[in-house]
Amino acid sequence: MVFASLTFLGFFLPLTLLVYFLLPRLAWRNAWMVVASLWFYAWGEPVWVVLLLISAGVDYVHALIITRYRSHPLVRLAVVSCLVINLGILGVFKYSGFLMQNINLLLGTQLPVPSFALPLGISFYTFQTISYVIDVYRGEVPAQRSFWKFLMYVGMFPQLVAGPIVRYGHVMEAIESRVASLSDISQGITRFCVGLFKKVAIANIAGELVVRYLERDLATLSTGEAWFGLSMFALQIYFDFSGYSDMAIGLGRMFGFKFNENFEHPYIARSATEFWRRWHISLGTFFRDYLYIPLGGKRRHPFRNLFIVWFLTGLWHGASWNFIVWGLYFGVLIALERIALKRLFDRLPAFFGHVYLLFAVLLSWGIFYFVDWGRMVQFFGVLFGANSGPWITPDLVDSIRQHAFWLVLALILCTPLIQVLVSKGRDLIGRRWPGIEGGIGLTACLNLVMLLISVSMLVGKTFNPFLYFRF
Amino acid sequence: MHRRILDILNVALFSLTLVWMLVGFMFWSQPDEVLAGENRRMASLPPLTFDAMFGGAYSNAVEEYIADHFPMRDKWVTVHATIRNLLGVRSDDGTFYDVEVNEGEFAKTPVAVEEVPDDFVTEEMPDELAAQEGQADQADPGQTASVNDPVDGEAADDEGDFGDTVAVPPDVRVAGSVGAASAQASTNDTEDPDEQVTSNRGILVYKGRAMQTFGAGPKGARLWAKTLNAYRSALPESVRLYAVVVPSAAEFYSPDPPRRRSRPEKPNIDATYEMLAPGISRVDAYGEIQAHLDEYLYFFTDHHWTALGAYYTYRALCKAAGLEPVPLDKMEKRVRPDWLGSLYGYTRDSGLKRQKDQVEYWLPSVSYETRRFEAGPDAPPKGTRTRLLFERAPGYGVFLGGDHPLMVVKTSNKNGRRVLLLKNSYGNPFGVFLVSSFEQVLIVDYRYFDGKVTSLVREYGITDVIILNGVFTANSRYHPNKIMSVLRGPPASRPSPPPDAPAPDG
Repeated sequence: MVFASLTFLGFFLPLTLLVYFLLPRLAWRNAWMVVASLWFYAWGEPVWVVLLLISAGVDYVHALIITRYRSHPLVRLAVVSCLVINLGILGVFKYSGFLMQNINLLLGTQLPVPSFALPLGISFYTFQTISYVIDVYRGEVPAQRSFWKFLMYVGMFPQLVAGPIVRYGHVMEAIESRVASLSDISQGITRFCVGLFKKVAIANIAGELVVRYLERDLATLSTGEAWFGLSMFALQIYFDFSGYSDMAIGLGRMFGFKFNENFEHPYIARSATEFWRRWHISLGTFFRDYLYIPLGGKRRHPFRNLFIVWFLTGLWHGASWNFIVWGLYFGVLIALERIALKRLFDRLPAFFGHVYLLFAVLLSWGIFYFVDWGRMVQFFGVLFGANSGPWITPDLVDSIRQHAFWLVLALILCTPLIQVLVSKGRDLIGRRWPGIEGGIGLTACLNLVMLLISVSMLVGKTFNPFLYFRF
Repeated sequence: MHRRILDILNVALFSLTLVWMLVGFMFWSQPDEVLAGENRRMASLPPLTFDAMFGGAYSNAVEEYIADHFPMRDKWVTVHATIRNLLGVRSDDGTFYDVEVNEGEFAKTPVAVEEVPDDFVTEEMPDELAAQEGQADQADPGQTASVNDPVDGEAADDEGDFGDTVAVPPDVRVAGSVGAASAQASTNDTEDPDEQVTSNRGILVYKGRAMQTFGAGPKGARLWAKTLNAYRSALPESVRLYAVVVPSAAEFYSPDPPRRRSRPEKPNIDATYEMLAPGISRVDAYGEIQAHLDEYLYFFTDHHWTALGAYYTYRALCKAAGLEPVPLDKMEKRVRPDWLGSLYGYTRDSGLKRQKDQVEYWLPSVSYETRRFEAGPDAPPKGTRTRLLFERAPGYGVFLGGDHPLMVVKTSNKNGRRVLLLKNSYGNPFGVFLVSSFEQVLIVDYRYFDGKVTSLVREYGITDVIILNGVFTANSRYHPNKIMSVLRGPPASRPSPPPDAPAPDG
């Protein structure tokens, strides 16, 4: 199930919340969370629930073994075995087809290429459980003795499908005892509404424009349209992904969990290094803590480590060479920034850093978007003026005009402007009318508006008229 | 304290909305029926089978079901359309709606829009004919055609596509993958790019008129011409064959200077006619229509032409056929007011809503009797008696009451001319006019007909065959392929061609 759907909003969420808060004891609530999460996960792809349970079982047992034989010299084997199994599952389901294709290509063989439908959220929950076992091994967290509670950590529906990758240490206390105060629920709702709005009202519309400009015959695309289409993809992927994270964080909050932030306005960064501190933070910190630093970080072979990390970061995003190139592209940028670029941009006005980053990130989305190499090369050609004809077409002008207000809103939402204004406004109101504490119910009304807009757009999306059915 | 009140307000508003959706769905949702604004039946819940459950089909069906039965769905759709209009600036050049027009041609059986009431007897029917047919016709006259659900699984589901190679949230890749698939489909099997162009590009609303914009080029509809040429060779020489391509409203009413949205149709039609074999009469629908542009020839809110537009084309046909057209004032005119057509449905444009359409129609000047024949092995071999004009049907459904595989109209004319019209819905009002000038009129909807045109020509002694298409369908692949397939009937071994490149004027 996805959050931004009528089934989720109209059925799953109200039922889950209702039952959850009617249950008097935490143990029952936890049980309900697990049941609801499995229902959520099984919706549409019931088969993969088994894989989720197997994966959780493997990690649960491994953590207990590690705890039990902590002082034994062979305890490392348990970690290795856990990694082999987890990455093995991920490898089989996500990368085996890609691997065989490349082997066939390289050796000229005709080996069968397996093709699995990727189990929902597998990239996320695999990393989550790996982090858990390693943290237990490192002694940073105690192993969870109850499988039920562990399953709740792995499969909790708010973050199951699209992150953030939650560390066990962040939620272990909440699993044992948590209180969702009225304020928590209220803040969770606000966060959820913002995320839903970002996904439905910004990302989905950007997605339509992406299809319009990036999916057509690229020979007919003008340079201006290519840049516009690419920018729309930048908006789509950011609002989609961060919208999901917002919804996950908000939902978690309603149930009394506090997940870490996953996005912090990445497009206002001034370098690729900074961009990745703001983009998909839970993935970046995962690679930092479990790969980069153990490899030696900056101390030993810093550049080798850097490229290993970025190769894998790319690969994590998808089983295709363009994702690997995309990851390595960021590796190169970050390496260059370390060597010289950072010092250069530090001396220049901030504007140059912003321009550099936006340009670099836009190009990266070009690599990310086109899985087909031929189309990617053709697209980059168009981007830099390969097609004849005017750059700005009437069609492009129309698209921009018809989305003018929406575009302004989307661009503003890429920056922290609204948060700054809201907090300033709150201060101002608080000073003038002490006691009101700002807001005057504005947040509640705004949430309602965002929710209603999102619902109308979800219904509108299913509007599917037929010209010829009746006549 | 205040903080607490605000939190309560926030939680209350959110919870009430969710509960409203839940309760509203459970208690107020409508039963399965036709969604008026969308010309399709509501999705219904499939039986819960093991395969459906574990293949994911069940959950997809439930999602569709929920969407279709959502409380106050139509209001939400209107709100959505309003919001979409507020996203940017409207221009004097008209508003362009980049909507994908869903042809729904997969529907095997059309819906009869209106049952013939018990008291219905064609007042135009001569007594002796009625008596004669009455014996043969035991079947009830207004048998509603069975309704098939159109295009299952047409609405791609977000979740279903998440099984992607990419670890980003579902919809990001979905947009790409769906689009990629369609892009691929549209570039498949390309002989001539012009032939492949999806002629429909979206809907332009300008001065209270909605128009589909034309995208095919000046090389003409080669496949359509080829199909007609095949008809010419297959039909006996004594049978006259007429080609009619009807221009669309955009050709005449889209804002002139920036013509960019809609490509010119005249060169396309001319080029198409050029490609026709010498033995085919080219009917100048374009010229007749162009001469009356200040009249009500196309609906403002629908993708069809009006009966008046069809009438002028009928005049052009008569000219080519050596017949005297019946003047309009010799036929009784009736009007049904206040109708909003398909293009309003797509755009929900407020200007169109104010504009509205009325459906004018003319009763044939002669007496006649109509029988309808369904497709399929279970269809009554002698057909069922029906009527030509369904005066209580909504909108365009007045003409023939929708699309049927075959209608046979016997008239009181005695001129030895028996015509067969091959058409889609665009031909419906045109077919009504033919009744006034021919002894017998066969109206074949090539999308639903499962017999052979050659057999019909032989059995009914057909003297004239008309193939009529709007400029969009003439330029599609699906329609010419369908027309071709009914010429000698579908070979058992050959699957019917894929209906790609949807064209919108059928």
